[in-house]
Amino acid sequence: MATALIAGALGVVGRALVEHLENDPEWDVIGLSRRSPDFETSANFISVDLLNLSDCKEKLTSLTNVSHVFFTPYSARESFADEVLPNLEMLKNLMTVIEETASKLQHVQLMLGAKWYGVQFGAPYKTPAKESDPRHMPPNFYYNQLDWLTEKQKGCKWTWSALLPHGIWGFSVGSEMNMLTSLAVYASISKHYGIPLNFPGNPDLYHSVYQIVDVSLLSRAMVWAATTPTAANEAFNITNGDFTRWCHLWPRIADFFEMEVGEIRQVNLQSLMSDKENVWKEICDKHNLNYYKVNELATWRFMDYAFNNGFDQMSCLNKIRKAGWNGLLDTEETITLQLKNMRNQKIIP
Amino acid sequence: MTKRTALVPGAIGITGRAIIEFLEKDGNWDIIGLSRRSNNFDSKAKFISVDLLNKEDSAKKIKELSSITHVFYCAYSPQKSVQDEIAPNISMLKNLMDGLEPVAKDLEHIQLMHGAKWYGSYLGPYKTPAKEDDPRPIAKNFYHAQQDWIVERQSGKSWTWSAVRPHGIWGFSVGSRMNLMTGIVLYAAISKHMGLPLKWPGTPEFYNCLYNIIDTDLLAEAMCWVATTAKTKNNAYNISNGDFFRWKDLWPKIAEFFNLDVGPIQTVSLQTVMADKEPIWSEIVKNHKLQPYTLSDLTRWDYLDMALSNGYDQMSSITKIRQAGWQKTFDTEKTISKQMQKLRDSKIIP
Repeated sequence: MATALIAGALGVVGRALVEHLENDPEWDVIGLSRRSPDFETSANFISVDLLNLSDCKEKLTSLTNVSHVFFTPYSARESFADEVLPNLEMLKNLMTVIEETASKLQHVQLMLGAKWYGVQFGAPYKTPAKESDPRHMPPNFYYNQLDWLTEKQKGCKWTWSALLPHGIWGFSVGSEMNMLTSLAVYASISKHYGIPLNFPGNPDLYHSVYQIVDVSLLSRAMVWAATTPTAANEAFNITNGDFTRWCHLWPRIADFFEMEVGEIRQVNLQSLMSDKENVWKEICDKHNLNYYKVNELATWRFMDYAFNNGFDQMSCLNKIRKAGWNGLLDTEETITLQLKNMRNQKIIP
Repeated sequence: MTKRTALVPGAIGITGRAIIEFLEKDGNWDIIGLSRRSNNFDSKAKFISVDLLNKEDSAKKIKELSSITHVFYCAYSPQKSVQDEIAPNISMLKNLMDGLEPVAKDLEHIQLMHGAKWYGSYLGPYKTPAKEDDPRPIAKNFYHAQQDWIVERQSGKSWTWSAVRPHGIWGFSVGSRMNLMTGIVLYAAISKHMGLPLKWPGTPEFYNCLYNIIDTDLLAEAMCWVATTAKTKNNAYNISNGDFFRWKDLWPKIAEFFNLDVGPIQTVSLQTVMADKEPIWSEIVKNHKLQPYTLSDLTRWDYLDMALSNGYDQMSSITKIRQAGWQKTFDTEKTISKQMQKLRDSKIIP
């Protein structure tokens, strides 16, 4: 019997892992978040601010059974430099308490991403990217987190791992970064206006090589990396296991919404979508949806960044495959599954 | 396990040779190779010299092959144009099957060796990563013709078919048409002899494009796996090392193997610039006590010119074969020198 402590449990990754593990009899699940869950769950949720050490001590000292920590929170800031301290602080605060408390701690996993390779600078980088590639010039809080954890683990019984996913594709509410929910809202509103599904990003991105990882596969990979000896104390790229281009995916997304594929029309989504709360409410009423505000679902700031990258974005999976991981999803064949989930949950029409 | 008998038409080409060497090591196979030329490598396999384009010659010699269980069809008859290749390459396959089917009562499987030209990779930019079921290019080539022919022929039969579609093939053969590696290493060895750095001879665009190759050891293993294990028969499968790379990232590894500096890009027609290099090569052979092959024995520069002159991504998706259960991956950057080392060990290159 293992006990998973999932920090950032309402984010797109944390939430998927909660849902993946909560019905598994082998696992007890504890979720940490500042907010309380917006969905039904049998996991034990604790509301805690990881930036506040005394709050951590007060709320987490009783968690003596934790065997596996999955660290997925992200504290967004105005600049990459500003992100370093708070994101490192959250990890330090959590580990300070857990190391004292959880005598059966076996593993700590960091959720990093392809920003490890500098994709966030908006310019081409070496692709396919390998874990062993030289780092970019800091700042990058991933480097601080991993370096700190590697150092911390020396001489300890527990092990660490880190996953570097890219293009995370799954449902969440109130996240900083969510491509799926953003595109789902964008498409639904486009359809409501009777306009075709225009690609709102950089024209070069439409034809560049891209990759995503479905959260159902990512959750399995997280558990695999946290429990497999060959994966201990290593960082791994993870994606669906194939490559695609938005030009191959876009017609499938349009087809899901029964829309025509439109033009490539790069827009600033933050400004274009800023007046859409009313029309979204109208859509939700008309289709009897479970109403969330546009800004609870869509993350326009993230989208404006992610969809402006007009270059190939590719992570090499040789390392994780060599360590024994065999998970694989055909991106083009499975891209609409998460959209279908959202429709079944009455989040989108 | 009962012993199987493999028939390998095109036995001394790059893929035929690879599958023969693999099956020999495997030990559970009797192997019969077919070729017009006589065998040029060490092998315990039985070689039969036959011209598959000649119906009578084929009929006479294939009549004896009643023990065949698996055919790895690696033969290829090159012609002046892609269109011209269709008729002879269909004839060869037909002559083989006409002879074999009546006598080989235990025939289980026939595998066709195809490639990314299926997707029109030689025509210009195409949909990548390419998938097996993508719509065909408008220009038909002999891969399409052969697959259509075998699908038709197999209907109602107890044997099954498969086709494998590798792209850049990385391994050793002598004098076969489509060998990427031999040409590159000869170009490197001659550059070194002339005191030149290893300049990229292809187009600048292609240096930065995505590409995929397969090591012939891995290809042979995959061929055998598809023919004997894959859950789904009567199917075509892309196959590669399992990763993608750009030549700009691989070229330094090739330079390193030859102890050469990476040079600047200099796009040339190798057919043109290598035309006068036989004397230099024979000097290299003499200096390093290499096996006495000539450049024209070893390679065909027109193929390399074709392969390196494109300027677009060439990518095959291998999701389908992975979903069928194939799990092997070679890290291209880490394994690129293995086949080159084999060439050095067998005294083909310095």
